[in-house]
Amino acid sequence: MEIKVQYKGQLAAENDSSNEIINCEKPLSILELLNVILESKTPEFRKLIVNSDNVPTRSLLIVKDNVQVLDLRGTIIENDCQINLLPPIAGG
Amino acid sequence: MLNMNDQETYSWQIDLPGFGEREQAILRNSTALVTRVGGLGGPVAQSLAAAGFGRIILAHKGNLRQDDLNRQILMSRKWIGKSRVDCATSTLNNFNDDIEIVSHNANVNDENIDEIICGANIVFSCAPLFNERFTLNSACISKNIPLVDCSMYSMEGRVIPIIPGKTQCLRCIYPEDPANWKRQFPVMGAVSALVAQVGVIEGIKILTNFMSPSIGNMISIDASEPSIEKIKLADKNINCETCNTLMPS
Ligand SMILES: [Zn+2]
Repeated sequence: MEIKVQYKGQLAAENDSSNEIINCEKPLSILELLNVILESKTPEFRKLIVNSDNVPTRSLLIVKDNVQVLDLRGTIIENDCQINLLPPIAGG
Repeated sequence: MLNMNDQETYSWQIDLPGFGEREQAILRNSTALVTRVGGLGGPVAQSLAAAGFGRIILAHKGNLRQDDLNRQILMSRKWIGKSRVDCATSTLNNFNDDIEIVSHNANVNDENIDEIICGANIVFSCAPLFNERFTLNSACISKNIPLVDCSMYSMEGRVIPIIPGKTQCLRCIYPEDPANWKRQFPVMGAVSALVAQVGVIEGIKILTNFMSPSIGNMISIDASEPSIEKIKLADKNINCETCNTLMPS
């Protein structure tokens, strides 16, 4: 299956591109997807996703097909989908 | 319901299907608080004035700088060095002298929020700092005032309509203070104005029950695509300390 990941806000700025396609053979949880994403990212990018204990930061908004996801272990990706990662923004 | 002057001024708006004299009268009798009058808050305040809100409260500390001028449309180059909130008041009064503008040369904080928010029926949060946004969020929830949280970064923007007791509040969405966000944000004035207009439309919908406000959603705007998407937010967090300050009605 094909997972389209869209990075928003500072994440897009820290990444070379605001989009990334991840292909997976078998279902995986959102938490597992985050770990796959972080394998190839810079420390600055990483800090926007997980804290120093490697736990996803609670201020990161995670969205699957336009619906907010709270249960990162229990939400399983089984089909093609789009995941948006939105770090907090406060520009006024 | 409306006097003849308002009927004439807002006749093109009253023509909107579903938006009539009743809705216009609600705006005339409403007070909106807009925190900061910069790239986002400036166009928010201007569109509230154009829409016919009877009273607008502005809060913004500090004086106009040259590098504000790419986005702060209530300002003027000749006013560099003057109080931003005074400049904004002057522009809005020139634009529509039939509305009341109340200005505070201060940014909201825990000490002044009760005074600044007094009388507001709706709040538009356009501050560039999370601590101000959280202060407004707490005040709106405890006083049961709808809040439209508007924010932007680079070519993106977000609008979150927050209805106390019904939707997630800002603390439900961000349970911990954002640790690694940058205070400095790149901004094109047209993008902040775009986000502002989406916020104003949501605010008008909430107050007047005109069409369907995006309750329970975040509106995500990306001018690079361009796209405007609704993101369905989770239910409010029943353990949120801020939401639990709302007094039962
Ligand atoms: Zn809450």
